Amino acid sequence: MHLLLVGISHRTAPIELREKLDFQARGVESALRALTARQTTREAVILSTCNRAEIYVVCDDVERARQDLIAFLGEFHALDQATLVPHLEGAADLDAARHLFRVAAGLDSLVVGEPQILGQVKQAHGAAADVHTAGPFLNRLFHSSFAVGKRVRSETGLGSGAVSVSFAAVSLARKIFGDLKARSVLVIGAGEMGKLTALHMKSQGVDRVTIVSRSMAHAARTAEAIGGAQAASWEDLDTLLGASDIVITATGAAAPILTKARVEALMRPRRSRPLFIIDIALPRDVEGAAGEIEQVLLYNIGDLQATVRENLARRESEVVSAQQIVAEEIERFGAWLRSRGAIPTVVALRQRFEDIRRSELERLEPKLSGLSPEARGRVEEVTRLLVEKLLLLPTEQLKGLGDSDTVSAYSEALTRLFGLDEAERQPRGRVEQFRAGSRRRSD
Amino acid sequence: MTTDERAMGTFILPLLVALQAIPALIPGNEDRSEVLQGPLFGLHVSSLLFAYASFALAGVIGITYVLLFKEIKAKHLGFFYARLPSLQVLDSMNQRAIAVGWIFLTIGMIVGFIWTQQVRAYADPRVQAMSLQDPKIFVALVCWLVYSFEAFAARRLGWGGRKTAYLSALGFAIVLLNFVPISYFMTNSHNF
Repeated sequence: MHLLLVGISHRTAPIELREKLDFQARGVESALRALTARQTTREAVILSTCNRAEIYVVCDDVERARQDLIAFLGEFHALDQATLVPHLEGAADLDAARHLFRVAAGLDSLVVGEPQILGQVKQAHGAAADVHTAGPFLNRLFHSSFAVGKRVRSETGLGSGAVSVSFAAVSLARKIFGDLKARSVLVIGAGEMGKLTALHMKSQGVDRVTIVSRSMAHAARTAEAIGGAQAASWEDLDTLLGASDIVITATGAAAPILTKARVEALMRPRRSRPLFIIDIALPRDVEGAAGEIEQVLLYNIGDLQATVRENLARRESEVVSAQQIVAEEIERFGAWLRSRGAIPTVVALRQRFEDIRRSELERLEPKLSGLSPEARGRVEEVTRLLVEKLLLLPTEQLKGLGDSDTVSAYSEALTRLFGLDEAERQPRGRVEQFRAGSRRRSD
Repeated sequence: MTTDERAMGTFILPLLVALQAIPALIPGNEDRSEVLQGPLFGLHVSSLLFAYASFALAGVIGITYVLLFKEIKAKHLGFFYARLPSLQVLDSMNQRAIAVGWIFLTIGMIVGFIWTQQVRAYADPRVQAMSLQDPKIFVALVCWLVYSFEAFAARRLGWGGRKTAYLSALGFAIVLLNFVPISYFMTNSHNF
């Protein structure tokens, strides 16, 4: 059994192609059903996000499955294979597992360490579990990948620090005010930037968002578009400023709206309540000198971009420790995979021993019939335990073997020594022969 | 009442270690003199210990507040930004610690005053010497004034954030003054 991955990602394909290969639109479940109906794969999970479309399957014949997956991608999305193939990437077995672990860790993301991907990987596995296309192999693989994601998140700084300007602004606001729910936010400027920022604040749980613009109608329209925000007129600006905790300026004005003197005047009645001003306008809406005022914390777009750059640099430095975690977990998954290689042999060996035990008990039946039910139960149990004990150590040793070559060598030897393949072909026949032989000897 | 804030542990632990180290390193005096028997003395000492512990906590929180504020203000988000809770949480923790400390300090001082009135009869010169000129009592009073002002300013003047944080640090510096130099070097304070 082999693990196989075929897919595209932001590294290999342009956005136009990624859009065409998006499974979300038609539903991952129906795609999984269509895929399993082709019967080239044993298990399948489809991971489809805006940055990647990847199919993980378990198959017996890697090359055949790969060809079929490419055909499936083309047919399902009505795409010419020739346009598809140059952008596809693939991997098999541990390389495919390593790829998934890197994805779950956020190492393969467009923005390294972004937090959504782990949830998307979980969703992908959940969808496959729902339609029963994920079996023991992929269940194990995906649960290991969740563990990788969690470890990377908790043991490294790969996901820490905001890496977009709007998140940097919100995380700063949180560091100043704690819970943002009870805070009031004033957005000056009803243009696209102002609207986006207000939306972002809303989505972060701020209840009171007020939008003020030189044109009251414009402010009202934007407030309505956001939903749950209020519009206010330009004349009330000073009052509004005094009552706000967070001020976002995003107007197209050529000269600063908030001069140092104006901010100073409005800070006096606030006493020691800090005011967080985020100036995302270019040219700037707030005089830089306003940031010198005691309780004013002023960040302009450049400052926010600088913190984002710092955070990105910090994430880069965490990549090595995240890769270390991926390597450790791959090692562990590989050990599991190798132990699986021994499973058929272990099962056959156990079956062989059990068959011998049963046939011997049957043979002794006439002699045992005189025993009490209790004593017979004991005989049954003793023989069973004997077989268990005899097999315990070999089973463990076999599962713990280092590499797959050794596993197959041992399996080969066991199959020969115990005649496992013959037993598999005609178990009863062998047992009969065995019984006949032993009976002859006892005669 | 709770802030459910665990991140402060790192900053408070060194304080606890230092406080533990003091009694561990200094040999104790086993026999208590007769003057010190009675429940009032125990109440006096334990409430003041609680008060000073709260002030120590407030002092540490105050200092971390100032450091975090400086980082945000200077737009250099680093060590404290990554580790401390929000300014708002630090501020409310500070004010709570001050309120608790102030209550215990007040109780401790009132009980101490009642106790000195009761033990005046003893001939022990240390008891006789207790007055406002006793540096320990004087500094405690100064502390009480500082913290009363801080609690008042926070409630009535709308002080908060950096100003109260600085006051907490200052108050605790005075408390330390009472503990270390006065207790060990100034013999005219009441040491038992």
